[in-house]
Amino acid sequence: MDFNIASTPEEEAFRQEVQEFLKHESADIDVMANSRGSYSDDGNVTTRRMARKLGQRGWLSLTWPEEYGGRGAAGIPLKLVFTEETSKVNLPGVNGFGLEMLAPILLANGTEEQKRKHLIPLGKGEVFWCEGFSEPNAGSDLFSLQTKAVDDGDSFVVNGQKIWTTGAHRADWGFFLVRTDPNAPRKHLGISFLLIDMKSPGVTVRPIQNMAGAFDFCETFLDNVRVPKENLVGKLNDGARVAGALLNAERSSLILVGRGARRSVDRLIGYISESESTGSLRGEKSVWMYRLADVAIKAEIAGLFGKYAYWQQSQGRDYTLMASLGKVFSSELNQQITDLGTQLLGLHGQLMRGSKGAWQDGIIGQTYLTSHQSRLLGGSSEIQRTTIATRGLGLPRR
Amino acid sequence: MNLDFSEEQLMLRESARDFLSKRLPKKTVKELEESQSGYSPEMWKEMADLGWMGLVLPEKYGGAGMAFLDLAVLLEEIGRACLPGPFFSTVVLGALPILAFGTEEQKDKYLPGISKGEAVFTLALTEDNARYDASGVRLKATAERDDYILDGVKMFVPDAHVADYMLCVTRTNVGAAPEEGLTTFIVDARSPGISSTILKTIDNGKLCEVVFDKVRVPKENILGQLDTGWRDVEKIVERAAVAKCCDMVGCLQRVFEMTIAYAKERMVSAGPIGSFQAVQHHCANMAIDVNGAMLSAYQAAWKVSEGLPSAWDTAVAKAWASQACPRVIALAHQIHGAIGTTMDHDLHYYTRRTKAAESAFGDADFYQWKAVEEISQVH
Repeated sequence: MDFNIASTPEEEAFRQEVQEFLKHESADIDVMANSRGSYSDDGNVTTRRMARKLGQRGWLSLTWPEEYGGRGAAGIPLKLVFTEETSKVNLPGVNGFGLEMLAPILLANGTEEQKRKHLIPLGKGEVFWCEGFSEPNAGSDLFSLQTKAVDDGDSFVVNGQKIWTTGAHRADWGFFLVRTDPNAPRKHLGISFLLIDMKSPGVTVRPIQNMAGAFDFCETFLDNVRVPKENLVGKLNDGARVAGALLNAERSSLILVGRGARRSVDRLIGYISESESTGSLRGEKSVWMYRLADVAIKAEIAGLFGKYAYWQQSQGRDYTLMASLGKVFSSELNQQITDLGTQLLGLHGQLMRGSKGAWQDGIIGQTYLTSHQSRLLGGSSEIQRTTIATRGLGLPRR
Repeated sequence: MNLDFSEEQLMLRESARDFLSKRLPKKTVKELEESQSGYSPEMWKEMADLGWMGLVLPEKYGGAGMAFLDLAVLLEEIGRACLPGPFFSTVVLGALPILAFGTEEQKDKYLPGISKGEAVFTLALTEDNARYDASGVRLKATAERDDYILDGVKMFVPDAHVADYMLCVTRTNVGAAPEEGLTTFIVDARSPGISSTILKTIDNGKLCEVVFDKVRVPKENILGQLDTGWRDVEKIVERAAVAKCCDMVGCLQRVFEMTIAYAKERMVSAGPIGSFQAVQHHCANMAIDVNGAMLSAYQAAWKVSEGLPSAWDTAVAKAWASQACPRVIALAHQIHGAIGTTMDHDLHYYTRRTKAAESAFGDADFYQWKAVEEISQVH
């Protein structure tokens, strides 16, 4: 057994290199921490700039085969080191949809032409992707999706509506699940996986403002959008399996589970030290620290779920149970911590961005308002628990 | 990174599970719990022959020279089987401290007997105040020529009634700060003036009250240093907590397996109860608790094994295990229904064993305060 992520001198040298880069780029990283996220106007500029810098160093494509700009198998431990180091800050410029979701799918299912055309600019940090899966009537129940793609010579003609397409208004391209066979015997057998240029005629994106005031989510309308057939990934009507290939792809992001929670805890400890030194801390310091220790312990537990899932996955084993445990646990923990933050700040907890007296630009209220999403995104806690019980523990479905 | 046990560790697990499943049906657990000694000398001898007592002791003391992580694997199986008796006391509270802090003479004198299964050890640390911090230690040891005279009462001492030796933590310098002036002695349990009374505990775990009535102990029996013994005791408690977590993980895993199996087989008119989402979500919550306890215990055991700083990992593991146990047990009972509350069903062995383990070597609250120290240091 060895719980350490890096162990060789090469890996440690790479860790140093990443740490120095992050120090050098701290101004842009701080912008991210204080902006309304990577989809805001200033956040997007910073994100794009940082993506190019990361791409130039080859850090976005570490694990890919060399012909697409990666370092092959030698890059796998480096990717872990990169992920671990960058998880300590709020690093902009890493397009998760493209890098963590699309890239593994293309590597497993894409044609040579698709890989060349799409992976190389993605790895250079030049192209950003969004994911078009959910629909107004197909969220957690994904395979009920209704957006239709009809064969029309050298193209598909796509019509329908997607929703919760995070970052669609900033994305260059999107990967979509669409229905290509409405008569398939089972719902998931009539779905295909399409790559769509977001500048195509007929694509309309309408950002949705969340209750924290940010525009992260979008509605995406597809109105007679012509998509060349070369943009079909995998076989026709095999999209559910293609999207499911995600499950077997290299997922270093698993080791990020719990990291955000720990960053939030550390931020609150920072508040306690700060307000104690100015004499403005309400209540007993030790009581607050005791409550923070509770969530710090849970963040460690969440991290262990992620780490173990990553290990299982890297050994080619089924890791879905461990990954689902990490997802449920960390998303509920996230909510607990943000709520604890508002309690710690008391009356100051409600002060929002731009207000006099707002601590760290109103971050506490901001994160509280976004925390309610975390138990819904990527499968609600209820769906996850049912999946854990049925797929993970083998309990009978009804 | 490598989160798998080694081939040797898996073989140890298999042979332990095999031995315990043959030699320790729950009927035997019950008999041993109800017996005066709390263990079977025949089985003890067999365990020694299997090399369990000397597992982590170097070969020159008759041991197998294996690591703490190997012991962790064995302790998990012991918890899973609910083995009663002084194995934990002898190995974790006796052998490991002597190996870590003893002189060469002390190691030569005591460790071979442990490996052979000839000597039972325990740790007399806690008192009626039931604290695991230094301020809890009040039993006095006073120097008198070449000896010390131990006078006072220890409580919750495991297996003292069958122990050949006790490591007794004493106050040798009254008036100093709580952490100072503490000294640990290796005490012959048959010394005049020692009397033990078995306490009746929830799991029949044979915790004892031990009265030290002017017990004479030679100076050379000091384990570690005079007056500055607390640092060593903290290490002993920390390791014991990690070891206890492994026992708890074994219990939790068995309870979890029993509960999932029951949820699949117990039928009501609409089908198996495990097909209801209310029950499924209980099971998912158990999975979070059990796997969290398992991974945090392994991480802490690995750190101890490698000699890495382990205070944070110990705090996480024991705080989590001590909170997870009552939650998992409560859900296991809920899903088992009334049958799980009876003496005929096996579940109560785990209900009782984990309840005792929860507060042993520091409860969840104790380790959450330890975690406060750890997260405060980062800033």
